[in-house]
Amino acid sequence: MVSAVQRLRAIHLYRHSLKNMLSWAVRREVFYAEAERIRGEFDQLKTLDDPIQIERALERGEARLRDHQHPDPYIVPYRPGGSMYARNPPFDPSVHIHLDFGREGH
Amino acid sequence: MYLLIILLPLLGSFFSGLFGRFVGFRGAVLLTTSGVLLSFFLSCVAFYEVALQGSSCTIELSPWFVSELFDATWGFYFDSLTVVMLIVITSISSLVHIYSIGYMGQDPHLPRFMCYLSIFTFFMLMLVTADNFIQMFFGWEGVGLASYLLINFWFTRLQASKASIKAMLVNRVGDFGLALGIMAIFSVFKTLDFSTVFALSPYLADTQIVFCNLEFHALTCICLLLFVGAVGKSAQLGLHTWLPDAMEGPTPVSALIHAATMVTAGVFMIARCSPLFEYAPKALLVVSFLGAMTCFFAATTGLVQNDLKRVIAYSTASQLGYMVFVCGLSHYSVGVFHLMNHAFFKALLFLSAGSVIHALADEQDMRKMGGVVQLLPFTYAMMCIGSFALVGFPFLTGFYSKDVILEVAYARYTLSGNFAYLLGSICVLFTSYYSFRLLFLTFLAPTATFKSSLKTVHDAPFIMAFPLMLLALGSIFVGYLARDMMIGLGTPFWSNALFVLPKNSVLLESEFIPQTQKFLPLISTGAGAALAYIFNISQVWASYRLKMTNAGKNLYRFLNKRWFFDKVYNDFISENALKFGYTISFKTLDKGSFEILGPSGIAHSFINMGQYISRLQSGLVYHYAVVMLLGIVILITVISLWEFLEILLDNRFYFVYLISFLFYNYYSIKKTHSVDG
Repeated sequence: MVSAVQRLRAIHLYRHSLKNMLSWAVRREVFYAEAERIRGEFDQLKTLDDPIQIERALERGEARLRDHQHPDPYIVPYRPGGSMYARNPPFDPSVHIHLDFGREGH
Repeated sequence: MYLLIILLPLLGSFFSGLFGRFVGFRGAVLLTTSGVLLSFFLSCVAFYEVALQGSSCTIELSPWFVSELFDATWGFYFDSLTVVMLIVITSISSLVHIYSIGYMGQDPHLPRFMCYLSIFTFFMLMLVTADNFIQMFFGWEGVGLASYLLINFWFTRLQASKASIKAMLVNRVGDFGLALGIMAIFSVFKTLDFSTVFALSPYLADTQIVFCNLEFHALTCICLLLFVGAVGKSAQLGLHTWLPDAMEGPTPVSALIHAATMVTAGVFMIARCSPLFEYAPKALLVVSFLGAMTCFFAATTGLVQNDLKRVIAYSTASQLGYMVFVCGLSHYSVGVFHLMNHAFFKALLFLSAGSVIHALADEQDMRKMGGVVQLLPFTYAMMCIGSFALVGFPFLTGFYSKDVILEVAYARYTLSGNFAYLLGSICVLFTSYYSFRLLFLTFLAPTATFKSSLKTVHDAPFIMAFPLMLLALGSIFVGYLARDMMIGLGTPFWSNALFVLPKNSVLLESEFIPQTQKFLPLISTGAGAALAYIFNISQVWASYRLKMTNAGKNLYRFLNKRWFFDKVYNDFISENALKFGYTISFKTLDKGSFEILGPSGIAHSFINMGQYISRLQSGLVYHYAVVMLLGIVILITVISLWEFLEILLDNRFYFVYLISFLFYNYYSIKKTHSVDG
């Protein structure tokens, strides 16, 4: 019987595998095929119900993910580590900024 | 007029920086941009007068500090080299100012940004117009400061702060070398004026200098130290790590500072000091080797970068390598010519990249781009022109300088020449590969962009497009127009600005190298473009499988992580330096010396020691017997060795002991009082 923790770990592993693959496979057609392959590998082990076997499979998967980790993973610009993150903190709502060179009212 | 060229950007910066809130966005933009534009027009006049009409001039403004032998003045020197740099700096700076109005228009800190851009321009102009080393150093440090401020423009970003501190610190290492070089020049020449130093260099070519208690050939030592400065500023191998990280700054900053002007200060300095370098052949050897290695390293790293700006940053480092190694091969004019050409096409590339980033909602990763050629046709055209000029496509700007660089390297027939030629030729292939990869991934490959970004995508507005157009014109025509003027055989353009020993000049020989060698760069460029097409457009599965093999993955990691330079620096240098700073210099020396040697330390240690010694009084006779025996043995030893120990034991120690006991007693009394109280 799979435990709740293992279930979460499996979901985490699947999500991170896909994200990692997105960093490696630049073109979508490659990514789709690879994503399907990853899904297939997960589906193959879907029927496992022995906790020890599940644990082993998870450890294998996590080790493979570590091994395949992209050195320069893609980060969405506004997420931590992204190019826009914490660029200009939002002003106090009471502050009005003149962006059109002070000519908004004209 | 000449002074106005330098002063106008300073005035613009002063008013927009200090009165930014008063003059507002519009005022700040107008003040700074008009200042720099005026400066550009005056530079054109200066170029006509100085370079084309051949009338170099010197302006002695005022004394700076005068002390006995050492005089430093505020003086300006305008010769061909200076005015070429003036044109490059003011033209690129003006266009970047105009571009920034559009690019940074939405930023709430625009006046500050414009102020920094103008102050950078001022310092850069000070650097190139200086007539002595001290003033050049002033400009040199000033551009470093401006670079720090601009990288850290979005100072709320942790990455930006880290990158700016890194840039500052790495540049300090280089500046340390430069400062030592300047001191060495003073110790040998007893002056720091360019004219005097350069006039004396042939006469002092065999002088020796004692540096670090070792005797060196003076000019070699000076040139190597100056070159350390150039290595830091021009991001050569070893001190290059700051340049890619500096891309944290806004894109116009990357275009102006980290591509076109500041990073070329090292090349300018080598060219300026050509009369010194020419008499230091060993230093030239080091310059050419390091330049070639930088060129190769940066090009290989650029192959697998995914950040649009980082690819262009590595391309900049690689091109700087070309400039430096050709200076090391004594062809300063070719180096400066490439510097000028590079400024135009690299500024164009950076600003076009900025335009793409701006259009795609600040997305910088090329993996999330593609297919925007139909949406951004103008930017694509500009990027194409920039990339073609960079790879040396025939008759565009890069073609005229890059080919000459390789031909000169081939025609040298020396170890350094062959080494530089070999690496330079390989780099042509790499340059072509990453430039076309950038074009394919950004514009031509099927799109991987977010739908939300594509919905709002728009081509550059006129205020951003106008500078691109002018830079594109520069990238197409400047090389063709200026080639014969600047690097033509026997051109009088440089007059006294650059000095090359006749035996080192091989421009004529380079015309007669085998035709196959002349075509090699072109073939390499074509091959690079074809490879980029195969790997990124037609055979994506093959390239993916290649990348996912063990060897492919390791190589990818190695190159993507910049040959692990940063890791090695962090693990072996930064971390140890940080530990030293905290544990030894702060905890032990600063804080510890007061605590341990000061009263509280002594008082505490004596109490502890007293308690420890009191344990000797165990009440057992044989313990006392052992102590007595040991005491007698030590006494006899001391008496018998007194003649030897007398030298070691300093009488002054007794004084220290006495003082310590005084404090010990004072502390004990205070403690007793407080307990009683």
